[in-house]
Formats: sequence, C-alpha cells, structure tokens
Amino acid sequence: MIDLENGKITMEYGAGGRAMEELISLVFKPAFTNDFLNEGNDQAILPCLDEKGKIAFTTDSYVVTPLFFAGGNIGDLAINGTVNDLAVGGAVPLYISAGFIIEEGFPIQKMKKIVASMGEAAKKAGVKVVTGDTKVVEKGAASGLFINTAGVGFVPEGVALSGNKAEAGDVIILSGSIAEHGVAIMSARKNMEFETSIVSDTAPLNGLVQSMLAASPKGIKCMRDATRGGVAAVLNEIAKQSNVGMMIEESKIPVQKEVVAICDMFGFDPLNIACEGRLVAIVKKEVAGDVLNAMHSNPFGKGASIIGEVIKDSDNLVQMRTLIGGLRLVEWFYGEQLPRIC
Amino acid sequence: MTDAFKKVLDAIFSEASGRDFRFMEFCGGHTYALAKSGMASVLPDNIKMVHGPGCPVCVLPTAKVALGMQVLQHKDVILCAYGDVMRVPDGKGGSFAKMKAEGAYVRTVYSPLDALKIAKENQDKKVVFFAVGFETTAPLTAAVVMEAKRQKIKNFFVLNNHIVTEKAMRAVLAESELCGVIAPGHVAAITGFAFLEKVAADFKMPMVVTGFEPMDLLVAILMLVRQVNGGSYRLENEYKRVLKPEGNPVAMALLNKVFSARKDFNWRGLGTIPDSAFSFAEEYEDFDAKKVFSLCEKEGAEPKGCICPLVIKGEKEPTDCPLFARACVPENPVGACMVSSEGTCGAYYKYNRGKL
Repeated sequence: MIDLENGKITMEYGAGGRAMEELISLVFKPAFTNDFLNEGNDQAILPCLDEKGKIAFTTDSYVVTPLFFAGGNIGDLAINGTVNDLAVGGAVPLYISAGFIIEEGFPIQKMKKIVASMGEAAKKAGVKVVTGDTKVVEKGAASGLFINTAGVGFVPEGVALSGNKAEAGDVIILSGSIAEHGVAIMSARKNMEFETSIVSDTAPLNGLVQSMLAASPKGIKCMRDATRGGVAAVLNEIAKQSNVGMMIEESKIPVQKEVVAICDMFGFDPLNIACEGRLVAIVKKEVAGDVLNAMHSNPFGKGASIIGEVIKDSDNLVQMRTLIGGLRLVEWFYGEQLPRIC
Repeated sequence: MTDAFKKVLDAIFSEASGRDFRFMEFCGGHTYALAKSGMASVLPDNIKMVHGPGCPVCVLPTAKVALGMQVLQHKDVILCAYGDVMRVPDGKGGSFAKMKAEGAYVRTVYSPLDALKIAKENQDKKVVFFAVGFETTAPLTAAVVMEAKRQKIKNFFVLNNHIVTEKAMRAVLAESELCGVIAPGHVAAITGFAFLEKVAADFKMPMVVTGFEPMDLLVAILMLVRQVNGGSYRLENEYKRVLKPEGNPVAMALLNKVFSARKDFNWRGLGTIPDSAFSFAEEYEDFDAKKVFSLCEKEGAEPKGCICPLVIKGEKEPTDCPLFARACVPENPVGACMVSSEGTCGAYYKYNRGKL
C-alpha cells in the first residue's frame, strides 16, 4: 500500500502495475477528478466544440528549479502556464493533459502537494485535467520532477488575435507589475539565496482575457503572456511579426521597488525577467479606455496600465523613454540568464 | 524627468555652452548606467562622454583566458568563473562557456565563496577560481583565500587576474585628450581618495567621483563642467552618501595581506603596465594556480579586425568597428568589450546600437 506520508517514488510506480494504479487513484484522481478522467481510458473522449469557432491547442514542459517557491510550485505553474498560452490567443481553455516524469526516490508527499496545487489551479482556471501519463526514471536521470501539460481551448467565432496585427498608433497595455516570478525563483535558488518579500505572480489569465474581449471584441489586436524573456521579448517579437516599432515609457511600467533593487544587484533588467501571470496587449487606441476599465475590475488586471504605443519603424526597434527623458533600446535578453525558470 | 534633474540639466546646458567637453567615465558600471538611462540623448551635443577601460573582462587579454584553458587540461580540475568571464573569447573562437558545453568541468559562480564551497564538496577535485576585477572584487577573493587557509583547504586555488585601477588610469590619461574624468565610485569606496587626488594633480585633470544613479552622473558632469570653466583640477566627491575619503581600510588590509604588487600585467588594449596587478604574497603562494599548475603565459592574438583596444582607451566608438553588431554580437562576442553589458560595446549594443 502506498505510504502517502513518508513514501518515495520507486521505479515500480512507473511500471504499469499495481503501484502505478495506486498512485493514480490516491494521488492524481482526487486532485483532478472529472467525468472524462474518471472514465479511466487511455484517452479522454471529449464532446465536439461549436463548429463555428476554432480549436486552440498548445503544450509546454515545466522544469522549474526549485520545485517550490514563494507564491507557487511547479504544479500550479504547469496549469497556469498552459492556460495562459491558450488564453492569450483569445481561446477559452477547456481541457488539459498532464505528463509527469518523476525521478526515482521523489517523496510521495511532495508529489501529492504538487498534484493538489495543480488540481486547485485547474479549478480556479475552470479547466479539466482529462488525461495524463506517469513515467519514473532512474535517480539522476531527472531532477525531482518534470511536468508536461498540453491544453485545448475554444476560440469563439470572430476572435482572431495575432502578433502580426500591430499598427502604428495602437497602444501597448501591460496587465500588472513585472518580473516577480523570476525574482521569486532567483531568491529560492540554492546558490543565490537572498531574503525578499516578492512572490511569484503565477496566475490564470483566461478570466482577464475574456473580460477584455468582452469589452472590445474587435479592438484588441494581439496578446502575449510575458514569460521567459519578459516583457522585452514579447514586445520585440510583436514588433518583428508586425514590422513595426514600439515606444514605451519607463515611468509607466509597473514594477515593485524591491524587484528593481534585486535586479540591479544581479545586473538584470526587470523587462527581461519572466512573469507567469502578466500579459501584454496591443489595442486600438479608441478602445484602450474600455479595455483598461475591464481589466481593472479583474483581480489579475488591477495593476494594468498603458505603457506605450506602436510606432512606424522598419528596423522594428523597441525603444524606451527613460525616467530621465533619455532614449534607449529594450533588447531581447541574450545568454544564459536564469535557466529553468518555468 | 524630475524637477531636480531638469534643474541640473538646465545648468549644464547654460554653463557648458560655447565649447566642447570630452569627459571619460572610467568605470564600466558608469558606462552601463549612462547607456541604460539614455543619458547621451539628453546631454547637450557639445558634451561627449568617452568610455574608459573599467570593465574587468574588457581588459582581459586572450592570453589570460588561455591560462584558464591550460588549467582545464589538468586532470580533476573544476574551473569556477563569474558569468561574464565565461563568455570572454580566447581569440580562436573558444571560451569557457563553449568548453563547458563540450563537457569541461567549468562552473559559473557569483562569488569566490561559491568556488570555495565547491572545493569543500569535491575534495577529490582541484577547484580553481578564475579571479578578475579591480580593487572592488580583489578584497573578497583575498578574504576567501584567507578563509581557505584558516580551514586548511588544500584543493582550492586562484588564477589571479586582479588589477590595479591607478595604473590603468594613468596609462589611459597619458594617451587621451580629455577635459575631465568621472572616477570610479565602487573602487574609491575601497581604496579611498588618495590615489585619485594624486592622479588629478599629476595630470591636471578635473575629476569627480560619483555614484551610479542617473542623477549622480548628471551632477558629476555639471561639477566637471564647472571645474573646467573655473580652471581647477581636483578630485571632488559627489557620492558623499556612500564614499568616505579613507575608503574601506578593512578591505584594503585584507587585500594587502594576501596580495602584493605584481611586476607587470598585460592589459588588453593598454599593453604591459608595470605594477598594475596583484600577485600572491609569499605567505599565500600555495593558492596561486599559476604556480601550482606551472602555467606558462604565451602571447595571445587579439581577434582580427576587432578594435576593442582602441575602444578601451576611448579613441574609437563601438560603431566605428566593422565587426560591431555584425560579426560581433553579445551572443557571439568577437571582442571582450561585447561580452558584458558594462563593456562599452555590450552597453552600446544593448541600449543604443548607434540607432537612437
């Protein structure tokens, strides 16, 4: 019988026998329970979606280290990350798959905690974990636990967000203060431990996105969640895709003082640091006010603000007016900044 | 822009009019802060900031990187280096980062303390810390070496590239035509002001030691303009909230205990300068990787076409280099100035690229 308190994952938990069955029924099912999963088949058989809309499909693997950090753990990250990848495409996230690669010797209690967080995150986001897989690898072949999630969502008819739609004159909206996930992870890293009150911003953004789309179904050009590479990467991506430039204002970018101080200490620019619950939206100027109002009434968009605008620029540069009124580029990050941030 | 900032800027515009000013910020931290704030775009056109050699990896010749690679040829060695050092090119297309990817035992550390920890955890290996930096980082290396000696740790060594600010500053000032110098704040925090005062007097050079906020730099520039206009040349302290004239005697004592003056050191761009670096004091020679591994420094070739040596002296702009933003980019630096965002080319690439 599986020992949920003091047990360790051994190779047999991935071998397809009784141990694996116990792990599924005592750890995974209680957290994820839903009709599709409970069928217990090799696949989830899902109802057909409205044929007028479209299907969004995404996948992401989570290798964050450490597994637990201030504000979350790999479990809720794995749900929120995939939910957000669907949401920023204008999709309503519906179904998630979860694949676990577990290192031999991993404590079952930790596993249970992580899976429970996933269950809670799924509930909050309104998605169902409908199918999954477990593999156990020998000690040293993985570091603790890796999770892969894939997600399916429904894009209602008429919603067509894309990174190639930004035009000069559009405004750039950021949904909240930046770089908190990256800083929370840094502070939990063994070789850089420092004290901070900053917690990860990991959150599901599908509710926020839906309220934005409801406020202006046609005025939102595109959205991206600012994960690896931070807001800087998102802006550079969109600038390139749409063949435009961007001009942002440093004074308008919401960032906590403590985040700035920590980033300074390590020589990082908060604009390059990952968020896990923030999005950037490119919006027609005329509807920016309506979209912002809708965002402010959502818990994950309270700190939303207009940070700049799209400009004409064949070099596709992202520029920033600094606090002193100077101009500088906002570049992609290069090199190995913070590996395994998500 | 705050009112206070605007007031200083207005003063600069009115007091600096009528002539050209060439000021050098010596320290890479200042180069970075200037680029990051977009300072050049708010200053009047007649004030030109020239970027100095105060970025430790920029002044590291390829021959020093080659020494690290020699150490890695030895069996059971783990080489530990700061992140920026990992990417310094060896002039032949290699770097520690590339060796790491190919399986060499190379680790990135944030401090020599991390390297010491690795040594304690890997007693069957020889752990070599590749030390770089001016008087800012040297005391920490010294402290860690003393700690290693106290704990009788026998498998920890330092490949020492710690360098002396004063000598580099004198070498640059002897060759450059400048109106004033923004002196390095972090160095002065350790060394104190005495050497800067001497340099200012010897070269009749207005000098202001300052902090790293845009406002610090702006005020320092105004102070330099005023010195030039008033015909004076002395060291002034804009960074009073942090800097004391005597520096940090505790750190200096550590430094002087573990290290002594090195006969000469070959700087990238500046050539060989006598007494311009630190070597181990006799009592600590057992930690000297160069000695322990009998390393032999060979003349290294600088990459073809790279004008870093002229950039380091403030004679050329990064955008004057045919390689800049073409063959030489941060992802694949040809010259060392592109490696760190405190290096002139790295800061230019990241924050301006000659396009703004």
